[in-house]
Amino acid sequence: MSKGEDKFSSVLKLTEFDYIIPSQVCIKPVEIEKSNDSGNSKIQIESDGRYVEISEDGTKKSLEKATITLNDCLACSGCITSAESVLITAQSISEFLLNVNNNNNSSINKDEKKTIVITLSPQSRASLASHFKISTLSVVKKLKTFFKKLNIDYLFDSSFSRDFSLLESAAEFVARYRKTYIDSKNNNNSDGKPQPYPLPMLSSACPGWICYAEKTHGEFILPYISTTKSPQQIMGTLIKYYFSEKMIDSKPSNIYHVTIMPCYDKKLEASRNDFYNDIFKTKDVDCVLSTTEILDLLKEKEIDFLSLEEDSSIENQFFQLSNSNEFYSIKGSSGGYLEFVYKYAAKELFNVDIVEPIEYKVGRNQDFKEVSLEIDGKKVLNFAQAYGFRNIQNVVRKIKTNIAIKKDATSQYDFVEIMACPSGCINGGGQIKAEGIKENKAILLDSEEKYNENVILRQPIDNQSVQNIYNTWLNGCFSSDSKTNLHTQYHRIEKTTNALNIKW
Amino acid sequence: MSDTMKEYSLKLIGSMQKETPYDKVWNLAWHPNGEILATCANDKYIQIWSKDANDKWGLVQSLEGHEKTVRRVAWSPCGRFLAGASFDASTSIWEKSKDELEFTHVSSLEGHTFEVKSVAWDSTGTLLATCSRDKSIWIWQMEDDNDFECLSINSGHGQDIKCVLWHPNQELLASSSYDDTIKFWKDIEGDWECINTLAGHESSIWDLAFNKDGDKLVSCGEDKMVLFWKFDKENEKWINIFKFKDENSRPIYSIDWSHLTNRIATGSADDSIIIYEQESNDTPDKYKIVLKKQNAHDSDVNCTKWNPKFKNILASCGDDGSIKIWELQEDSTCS
Repeated sequence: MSKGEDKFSSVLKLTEFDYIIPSQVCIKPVEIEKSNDSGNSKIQIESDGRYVEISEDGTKKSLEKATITLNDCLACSGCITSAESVLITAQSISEFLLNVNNNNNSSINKDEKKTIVITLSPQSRASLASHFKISTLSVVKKLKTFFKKLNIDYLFDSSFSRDFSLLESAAEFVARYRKTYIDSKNNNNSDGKPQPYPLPMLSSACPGWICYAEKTHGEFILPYISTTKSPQQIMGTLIKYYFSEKMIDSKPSNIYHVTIMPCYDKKLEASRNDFYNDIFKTKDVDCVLSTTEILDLLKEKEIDFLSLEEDSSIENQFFQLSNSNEFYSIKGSSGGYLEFVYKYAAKELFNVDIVEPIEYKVGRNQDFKEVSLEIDGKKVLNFAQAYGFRNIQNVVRKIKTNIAIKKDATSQYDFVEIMACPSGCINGGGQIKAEGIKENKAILLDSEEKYNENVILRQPIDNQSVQNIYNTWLNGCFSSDSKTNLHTQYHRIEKTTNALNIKW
Repeated sequence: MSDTMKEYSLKLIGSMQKETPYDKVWNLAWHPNGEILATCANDKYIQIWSKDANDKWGLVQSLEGHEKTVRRVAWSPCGRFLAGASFDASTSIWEKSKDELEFTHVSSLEGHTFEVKSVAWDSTGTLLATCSRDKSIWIWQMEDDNDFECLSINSGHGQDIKCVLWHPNQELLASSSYDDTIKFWKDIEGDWECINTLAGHESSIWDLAFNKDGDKLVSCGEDKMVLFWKFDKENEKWINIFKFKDENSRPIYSIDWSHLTNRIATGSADDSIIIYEQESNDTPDKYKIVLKKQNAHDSDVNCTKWNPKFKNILASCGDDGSIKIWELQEDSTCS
């Protein structure tokens, strides 16, 4: 196994990274310029390693190396072996340091100098705190010191963009629910066509789940998935298109945006074509580093993390720190989608205030939970949480069966929070782990505790900075501008297992 | 004192040829009542055979439901359900009507990303295991409405998994793979984990079989070896106790252990069927060859299965497109 392969979610490993032997050779067609001369030509390797073509009359022509873009590579499901290694190199710490060092080079042009922004996820923060046995606040302060040494300008928190993700998801759900149950009574949608945005709505923050859905279930499952972007990608949009212009008077292409995430699947997400802007020729997120890669980075720079000073100058615009030095948070270490959307929907649709604590019905295993709202004995909201591959299977299966045999609506789910990793993001493939199963269980518990430590619960709607951006830049939640900037789309990926491509 | 030297022969008592000769018949399975046979081939159908009034085997029904070759078939212990594992990455479940030989499709288990190689029911008939070239083993539980819920998706094998087999009386699953190992899986507090890995084969392990009590396991493979394993209760590990090497000139694809007679049958790419049994009551961990039937088929023998109800009846199928029913007969001669 190559380094890093085991850091992807198991869902992705089973579908994306197929190291089958016999292996498949790349089948991506590469555009080659057809040469006009029909005669014989020889190929020669020059002393500097270049390949040149020498035509009959002696003229030399330098040959281009055949290349495939990372995106083409990732989009094809033929041989992911190469894609993985291409991806790892494009988003590794060496690539990160290369960009940082280039930026620090004194000979660089003033126009070319980039603003470097790092977005830290709360899950990575908790994992580092658990590993170093310090508080999450200390982790952030020490990271700030470390990044300042590298001349990195900003350190932000993805919990900030998560507030947008939650609000958009909730608004999107309510819209779908209304269209399915309430509006359909009014306009007789009798043409039998399937709903463009049907229920159940499936959460969209987990890229492992998205890649799996696009590749394996494509056609029928994609309409069910929420179009709301993940916190990582919303942050990408905010940094490149709001922060750049409105706050630091810069251009999108002049920002190098790095995120620190609990898994490698997020690297795939950052590489999606939908998150690349062709006009500014820049990605919303340029590089994703996993929590373990931060450890590697510290090692490479020979930094003793614990002895670093704690820098208190932390931004509170795109950060989530209160005046009392506590982190603003919501419940749930995978984003808290289920609980937030459930409470929001109950209030918006039925004017019901959900009383805490919510009583979940635990399914076959701890990673599967259900909760429902009953009014006058009838289930009006049926929500579930499914983490891990086996539970995702069962959810998808249930949806497929319900369509096939047209079961009554009451047995269906309305919303499912789906995460590829058992126990969710806190247990992501890029989190700091130990060798044994027992030790990892202990680490997981500790990380979960760190996640909830030093925290004030605050509703996304009470985040003034979020409200400000909604009012001044997006024209409100789930508005047309919000849909353009904070929502995305999905694409079915065809499996290209053509027998001709298999190297026997 | 007369010396009784036992000699055996494999007598052909029935034969069915597929309409298209040389369609590879991959696998077969006896219904628990010993009177119905399910076979599957690369023509995408599952075929049901039984004997007519004249004691002749004939085709009863062709089950159409897969888009590619069906690689293995398995009956539930109660005989009410039949599962078919296919190269189209799905496993079909069929229900037999109560009194008739009629089958209806009740479910399709999807999820594997590549060809499903094997399917097996556990001894209670509530759990089903499937394995695939995608290197994963899926464990399913049958629900009341004949639908299945996925309990676990197990990774661990490094390559294509050829066979899954449940223990005859415990909730324990064995799997064998192209990665040359056999693995055992058990449910530990809600998560299925690999509790044992057996090494010993030098290449792909095609098939597995447990003895009646489940304290012995036999495996066969691409390396032309037959390995016998025994469960060492003290150390809670399976250990290799005996082996046959080079009795076949080509890979051995199938192995089955009769729970009635304790005899073992193998089918090989060298067109032969070999019958093994315990050497003697005094040496229970040693085995000997009872009979080698060369040219049992005109091509590779893909599957050999003992009849679960009637002693010494064996069914085999192969690349020659034929399904043969044999009776192991003992002729003892006095010297």
